[in-house]
Amino acid sequence: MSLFLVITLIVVALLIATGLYRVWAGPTVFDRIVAVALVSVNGVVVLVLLGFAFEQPTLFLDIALGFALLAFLLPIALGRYFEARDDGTSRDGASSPRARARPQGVVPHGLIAERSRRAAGGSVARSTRAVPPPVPEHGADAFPDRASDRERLEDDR
Amino acid sequence: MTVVANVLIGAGLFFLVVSTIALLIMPDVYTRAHAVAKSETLALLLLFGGLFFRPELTLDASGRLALVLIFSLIANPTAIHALLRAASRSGALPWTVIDQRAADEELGGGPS
Repeated sequence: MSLFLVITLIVVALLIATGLYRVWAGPTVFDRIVAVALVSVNGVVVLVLLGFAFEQPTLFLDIALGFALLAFLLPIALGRYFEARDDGTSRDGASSPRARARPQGVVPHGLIAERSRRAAGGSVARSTRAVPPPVPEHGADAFPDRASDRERLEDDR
Repeated sequence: MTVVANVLIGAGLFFLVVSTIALLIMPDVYTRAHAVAKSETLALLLLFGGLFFRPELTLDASGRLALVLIFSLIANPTAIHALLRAASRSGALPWTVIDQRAADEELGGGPS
């Protein structure tokens, strides 16, 4: 068991603990999933290094390969799960009681949505400021920093 | 050989540290995912590449290590890409300095 590998192991384990802060704090759900991806990649590194530190690399590399396969599926599956559809709901939002109580027909807002609406020839307000603050739809919980973005927009004026 | 291995592993460890710090201090989901997708992949390449030079490596283990390395190199950026596409479709805003006048001009109207 070489000292260098043990020190490397300890550092990577500390990195896992540090990455978990972003899982805990990350403002949107996608921040959390990105942080989980980093943590799981670090977990694969820890497993491989453990195998070399214990001088049984074959055993631990099998485990690491299985773990890497699972860690590959996780962000893709969670991303598809939390992805908003055209009507503003997502698979998680549509199944929650709060989403069922929410009014239907949410209008997408923001610069890109407005540009595409203009391209379609719809009647659009002149700027995002003239539009009444959009109804918090699915993104209300997923993107809490949208409100602060809107404030920045007004401050820049 | 062990010296070569340790140098490569140290370089990989450096990039792991860099990407974790970037995950903590970057402002939005796109920049954080950038750190994870690119810096982590380079770190994996260096770290596992360094492990090939360790004396503990056996013949069985080298094949499996190559499998883990190749799979991680392909899978890590792919997973982050799919995740970011979902985030973009869900309307995650990129971190930017908002220029209201430029936005108005692009939308074809003056300031209201």
